[in-house]
Amino acid sequence: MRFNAKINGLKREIECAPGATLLEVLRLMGYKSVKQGCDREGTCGACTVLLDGTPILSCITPAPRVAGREVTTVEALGDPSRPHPIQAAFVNAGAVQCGYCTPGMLLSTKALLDRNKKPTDEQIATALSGNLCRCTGYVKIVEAVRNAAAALTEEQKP
Amino acid sequence: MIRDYHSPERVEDALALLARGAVAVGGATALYTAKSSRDIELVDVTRLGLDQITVDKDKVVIGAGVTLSRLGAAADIPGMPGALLRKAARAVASEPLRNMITVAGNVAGLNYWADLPPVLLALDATVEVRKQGQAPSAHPIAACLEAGKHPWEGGMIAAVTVPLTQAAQVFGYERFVRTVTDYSLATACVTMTRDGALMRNVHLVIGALQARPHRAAKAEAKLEGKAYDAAAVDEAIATLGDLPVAPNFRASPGYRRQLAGVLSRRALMTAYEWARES
Repeated sequence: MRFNAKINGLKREIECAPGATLLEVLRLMGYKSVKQGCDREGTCGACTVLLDGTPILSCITPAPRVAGREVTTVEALGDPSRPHPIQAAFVNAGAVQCGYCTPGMLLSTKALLDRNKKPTDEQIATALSGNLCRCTGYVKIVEAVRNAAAALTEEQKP
Repeated sequence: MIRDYHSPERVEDALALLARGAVAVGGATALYTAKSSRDIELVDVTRLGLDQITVDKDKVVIGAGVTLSRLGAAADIPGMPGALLRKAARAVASEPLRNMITVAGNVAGLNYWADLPPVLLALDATVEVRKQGQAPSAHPIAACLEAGKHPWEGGMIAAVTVPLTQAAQVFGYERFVRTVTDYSLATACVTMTRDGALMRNVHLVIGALQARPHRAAKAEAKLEGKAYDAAAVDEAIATLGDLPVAPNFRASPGYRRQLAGVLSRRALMTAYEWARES
């Protein structure tokens, strides 16, 4: 199948098998931040991407579903030299250990903070409910999200 | 093996594909875990405009493609049905899964642990089915949740309708899970109408014990028309002792049966407390 979609703001032509998952396609295209964890079960969240700004699980999303739509991966946020405030908050809070879950965590956080500038801890937990971390115990991750919310609010002050 | 994937934007085009044997796919959350070796042609039904919630005077029509996230945030659905639907939808799985799972998919791709079907059964919902060349048809949810051939085969679910009444309706909804995103070990959903001190039109639905949710008819009969009191509830809960339970690896049948009794008692108490305060 062949279709167009916007990936991280760039219009891309995608060619794949009709049964390909979005995860498979994105990784073949070089978006390696999107991780394969549980794979095709939708239980771990390592494959989380944003589809038109909403977090979804790419390992259970048929790739053709994104035709004409916009997909965001962590590659769109920032890089080590110019990290996004959410990425910086995760590093500074020590919210990253093995890092495998981190791209999904970052995107779930971005979707949350895009719609809620000052989330409660309960709202943070709900937003991250689909992202499993086997290293950190979540305390530092929640702290990072709180700090990211504060940093983004500060950044937007005139 | 998925041999083709169609993304129609008109219901008629989707129905034509479904009539020739293609398979409808909504949220797709169970698509890749289904261990089917069948060669299938998929029809993506998420671009058909069936993602609206329409509130009328006597009913709410929930489009087949409404996600559980959308339903969980649907503040415009009034009264008891709205509160119950929101509570159940918000309880399902995790946020990204709720962003994908659709109302119709929860019915058509029924899993024993699914949280929404017991609620739809307790609310006397009906399922609107569309097929090529036929007028839309409405089917009671109870029939749709039974085993065997389903009314949407060869077509698709277009919407789920929940009746709204002016009666003083109340509900209790309880589910038990090991972690917040895990599958339910048991669920209990109670709806009833308050008639002074009396319980009327009592629905007690037990979920996650068997392949499909079911109404606990014997328990309902013990409560119908009676005033809420400990003796009436004890009598109703006692009838759940012989509930059949399909075994699974999460907990023993005996544990889940006992759990269903505990959850049913709590759901009844919640419903009653609500009735007393309202």
